[in-house]
Amino acid sequence: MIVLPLAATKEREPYHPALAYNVIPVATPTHDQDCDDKQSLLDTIMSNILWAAVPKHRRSPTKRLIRRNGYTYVRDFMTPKKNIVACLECGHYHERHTICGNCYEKVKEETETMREAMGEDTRLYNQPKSEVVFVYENEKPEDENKFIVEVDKPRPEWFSHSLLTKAKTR
Amino acid sequence: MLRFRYRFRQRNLPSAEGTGSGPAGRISKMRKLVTALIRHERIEGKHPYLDEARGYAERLIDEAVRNGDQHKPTMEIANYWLLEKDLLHKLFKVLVPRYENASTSYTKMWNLPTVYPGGGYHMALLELRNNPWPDVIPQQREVKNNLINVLIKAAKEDHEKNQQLTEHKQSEFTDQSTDTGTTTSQSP
Ligand SMILES: [Zn+2]
Repeated sequence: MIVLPLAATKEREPYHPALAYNVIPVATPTHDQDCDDKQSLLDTIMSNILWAAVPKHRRSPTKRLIRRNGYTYVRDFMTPKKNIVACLECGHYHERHTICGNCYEKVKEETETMREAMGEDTRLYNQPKSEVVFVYENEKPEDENKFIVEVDKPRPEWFSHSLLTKAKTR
Repeated sequence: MLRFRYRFRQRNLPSAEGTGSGPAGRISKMRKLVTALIRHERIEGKHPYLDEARGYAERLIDEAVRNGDQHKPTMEIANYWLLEKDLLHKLFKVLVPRYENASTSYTKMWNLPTVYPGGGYHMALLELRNNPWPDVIPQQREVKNNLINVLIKAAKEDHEKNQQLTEHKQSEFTDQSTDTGTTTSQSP
């Protein structure tokens, strides 16, 4: 006697009936049409690869070397600066976007003497409760209500608030 | 209202007070800078830090100018930002009258010259406007003989001359009209 496995004993299920159309659908591709549209194997592979990143421009030797060796700040010092101008007042050179260092030093010195004349206590701990006015030698304060600081030296020529006419008001 | 060009996003300044000081360190640094600016009216420092502190200082002065010293929240803000308390008086008694009718920003910023060989921070100068110190750019250059100014001056004179002529003509015309007017008014 031959014992059959379970699956074999099971009765074979009948196929489901296929969908029946009244009309033959037009859009469904037939086997022949499919064959016509079929691209060649080379095309399907190459079409994607051709859009991959490829160098568009030649790399210059400078760029190539910077890329390989890294950017160093030495390069900053090596490259000539093109933004250097001469100061219109004193002729010293400075970069265009900065103020002139030589002129500023003068201002800084003068400010330091003024700060000394003001006194440490007033400057650092008890700021005056009105505007500060600096009175140089041979000068008279215009407004007595303001906080007056006397400086024991003549006013430098370059430092003037109201002596020179401004370009605007002329 | 801030009347100067400021960055849209703030700088985080993660190591404002030493490495890893974080946001708290940043605010602490900003308070110190604002206090120093109000006290000395002109300070030097690293450009990004000063640029960052500038906005806070402007805002503080602006609040003080708008609300005065009777406004409680403004006083609290001033008390927070000014670490040294003698500056509260300065803010409300000196700076508020100074900037009451200001139409520009309250502060000004300059780039300090680079120290060669460079490679360090860009240094800057931050100052309050109309301060008692000498101007950063000292002299006002004489521009009277500048070509453009000479041309403008000549054009101005021409314009004035023309205007006088037209006025003269107009006055003649109006004289006539007033004469006729008077006659018509008198006739009835
Ligand atoms: Zn100069």
